[in-house]
Amino acid sequence: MKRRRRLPMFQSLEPPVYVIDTSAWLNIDSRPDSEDVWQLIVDLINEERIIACARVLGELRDQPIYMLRLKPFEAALQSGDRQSNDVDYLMHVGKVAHKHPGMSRAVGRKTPADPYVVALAELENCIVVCDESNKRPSRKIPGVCQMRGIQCLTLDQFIAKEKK
Amino acid sequence: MAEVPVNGRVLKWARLIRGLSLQDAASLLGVTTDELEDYELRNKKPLIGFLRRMSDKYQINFTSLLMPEPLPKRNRPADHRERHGKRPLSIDTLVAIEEITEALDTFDDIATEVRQVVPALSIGTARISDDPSAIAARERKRFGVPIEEQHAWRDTSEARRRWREVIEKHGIFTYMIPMPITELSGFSILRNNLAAICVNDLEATEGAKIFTLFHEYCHLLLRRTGISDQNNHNRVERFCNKFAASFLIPFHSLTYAIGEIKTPYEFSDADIKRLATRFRVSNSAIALRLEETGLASKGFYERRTAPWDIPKAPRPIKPGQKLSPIRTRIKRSGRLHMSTTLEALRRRAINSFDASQLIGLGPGSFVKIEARIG
Repeated sequence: MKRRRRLPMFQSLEPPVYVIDTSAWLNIDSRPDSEDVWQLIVDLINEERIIACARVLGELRDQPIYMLRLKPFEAALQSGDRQSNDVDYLMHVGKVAHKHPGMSRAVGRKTPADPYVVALAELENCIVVCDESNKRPSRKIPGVCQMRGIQCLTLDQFIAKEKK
Repeated sequence: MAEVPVNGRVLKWARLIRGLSLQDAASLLGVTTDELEDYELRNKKPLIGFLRRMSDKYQINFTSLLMPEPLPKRNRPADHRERHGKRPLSIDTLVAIEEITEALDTFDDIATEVRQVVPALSIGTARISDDPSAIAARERKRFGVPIEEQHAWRDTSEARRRWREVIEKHGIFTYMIPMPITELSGFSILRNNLAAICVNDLEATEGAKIFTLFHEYCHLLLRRTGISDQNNHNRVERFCNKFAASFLIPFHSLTYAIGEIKTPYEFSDADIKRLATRFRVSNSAIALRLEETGLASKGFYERRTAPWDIPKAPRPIKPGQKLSPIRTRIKRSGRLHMSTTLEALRRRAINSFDASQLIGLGPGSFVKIEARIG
């Protein structure tokens, strides 16, 4: 499904849609309020306000959280994702990787999800939820989001915003 | 499947940073060289599936193939090799260098996140104008491994494990990765106060691997890291060879083990084997050391036409027996790499996905790895 890109001046009229990164998904279960957070997330998934891109789900597949929590919602989570053969999306991911090779591990052996998350948030005008630190900004999602003008929240900030 | 308007120069860049010729790459991808060249010259647009295959075969991030322009060339480690005519590095070696560089980058990230998870590097220094034997004696003292302990190790496999542990105690990550044996014996990397030694796991014997460990350790002392083949022509390589031999076979212990002889002495194969077993090193290391110290005659090492060491055939795997992936990974990446990763996970400097990427196994194996490394 492709969302229509909203114009910034109308942003506040629609509730935000979030792209959740691997780091944030993995931090939910260690929270004391994890059950409440999962309930909130399930509600947002049902409202089509949370996307997990295929690359992120790929990274989570070997983690216990995948079978325990995410598998039943896989289709719903990916309904907002761009398809893996969406050439415009892929070329945009390539641009992100080129601009931020440290975060994308561009000369590495593996293909991390980070540039996919950033590119999806940029194309779909979503908010990124990520629990990475910002100490080495060029290598981490929050720093790259800041450089590209994409809103990025920590898990705490996301929960606080949605619980309001 | 959709065609992707990639930049052909990026495809060529990806091939070249993995050290692949057009022919080798085409053969890996199962296409003709003309077809691959067409993609690289942008005469033809590849399908997504073909790019995924390219990413898989080149062992390179898929996303990098989609970049609008190639990235600037990164400096490779210095090349000290001469033995095999500096043959170009193969994809296996370049990927091994990449694997360790990535690990060091991640450990550097971790070090900025939390203190005292990544061990502090504690190594001395040396200059090429120094006497390698004196430096070896100083380092041997710092390591605090008495010669009696070295003699008491069961065999060269145990010696390799023990020496690796001792080196890792100084904050140096050690790796054992199979790479083409005609290319290099090992390499070392030093960046942002993090150091790594990689030994070619295809070296003929455990004794040879031990020698490489200390040869590379000397590169770190000299702050002249890079790719080695332990030749005696390059000044840095020669220094490191002398250091490793002096470290592993101290002169006084060697003369004590030999007893009274009239030098230069013509040592028999049995003498060499006995000494190599005593010092838990390879026959060739002993032969070289004897010649270098004047205990054997000049040209003693070269005179022998047959190889000094015959590699042991790997122990056959019994039917139904499986190689433990945990043991394999620990041997490949070293205990320090594993323990640092698990500590970083415990201290929440990384998440379980990052830890599985570093360890090379799923989170289900973490407890077993912890139990194994103690």
